Amino acid sequence: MANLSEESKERIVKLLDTSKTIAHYCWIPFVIYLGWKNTDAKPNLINLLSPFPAM
Amino acid sequence: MSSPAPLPLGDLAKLNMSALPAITQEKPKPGFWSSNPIFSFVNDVYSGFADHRQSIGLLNPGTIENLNKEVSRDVFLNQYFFTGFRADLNKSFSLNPAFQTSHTLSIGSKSIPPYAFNVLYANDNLFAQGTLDNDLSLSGRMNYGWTKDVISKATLQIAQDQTMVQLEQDIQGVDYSLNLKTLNPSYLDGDFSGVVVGSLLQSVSKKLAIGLEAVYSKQAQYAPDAAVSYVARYNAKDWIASAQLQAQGALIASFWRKVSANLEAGIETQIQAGLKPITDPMLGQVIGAEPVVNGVTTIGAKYEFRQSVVRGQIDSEGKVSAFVEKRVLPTISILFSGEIDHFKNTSRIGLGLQFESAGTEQIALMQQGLVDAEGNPVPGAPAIA
Repeated sequence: MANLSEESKERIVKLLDTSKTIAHYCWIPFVIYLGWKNTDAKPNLINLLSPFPAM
Repeated sequence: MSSPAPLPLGDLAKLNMSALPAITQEKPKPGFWSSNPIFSFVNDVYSGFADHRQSIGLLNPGTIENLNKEVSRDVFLNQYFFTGFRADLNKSFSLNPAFQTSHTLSIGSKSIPPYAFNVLYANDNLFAQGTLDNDLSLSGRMNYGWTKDVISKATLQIAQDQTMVQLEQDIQGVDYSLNLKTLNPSYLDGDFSGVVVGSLLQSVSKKLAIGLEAVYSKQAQYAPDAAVSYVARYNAKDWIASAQLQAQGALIASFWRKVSANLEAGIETQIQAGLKPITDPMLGQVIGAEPVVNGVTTIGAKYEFRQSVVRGQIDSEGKVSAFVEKRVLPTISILFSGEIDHFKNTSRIGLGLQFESAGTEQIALMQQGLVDAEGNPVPGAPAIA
């Protein structure tokens, strides 16, 4: 992989940086969505994020 | 009407029953790839080898990561120890698939952030988990099981200034465990950089397993480094002994024993050999190196009561520590951890509260012990109003 040009190297670094930002801010919402979608109870957002019991 | 002659009891072989079509497996028809002389020879050798391997009856030895899990993670309290005050507010929304969130608040601790939010989702073959703390540093983990024995894992850690990515592949065979992982792999510096670890643990008898772990690491601007560690584990059901000889010159030996149904005890000795630089007392220059050997032995025990778990340990460096976890209500537990270092005359203490709350009514009833996992009332429990 030593024959990568500077330009494409820069592009890859940029791409990695962008995907890092996406992963940073989207990972927690993604896991919450997975859980919300696959469980029978569809809790609302406040119920999901508040630490207090629903009742 | 003539009745058929009664069958002699116990002679099932005389029963005229054709094999059930769904149960008898049809052998695959030999095609070119399995019938040509070379491949059929290879297949025969392989299946003969596999049959022989099955016939020995070896068991999977577990992973290298869990080599001394019984001592260092279950009995010893290193993993549970914390300082300061903390409160965990866990909230479950579903048990199968598992879906829960948790908020952790903490003060007076160096290792636990003041606030962290954690979310976890797990079903039969997928596990996803993420933690975000008040500095916005994220740690995420995802495991995916392709089959029961082949699992891919990815771990991601993003803090303000550094990122860590770890990719891992776990293969558990009938009598071996193979694990390959790589940490921050990259080709952007013109050559490979990062860490690659491969490990294999193989059962050699019903109780004994031996294995090795090879690590290759290459960081940009540094020379590459490779190291091999050797491990062994002897598992005799109610006691387990394990040893690791690490490439850096450390020897770790541990022994675990289940003393009674509720009591487990463990002892671990770590011997670290290394080189200590000698400095000239007049000039302050390094003039050579002397070998030094350091050893630490820790002995500990864990007792499980019905409502509480008590762990205690003492080590040869003068540290005595204890960890108590007590369930005071079905949904509230109290944690206490304390450590006294007798040689340095220092001490550390931690107090914590754990609340289990529910996101749905059924989970709430389950946590109170009123209904079971299927939603049926538990016998003996007070009637639900």
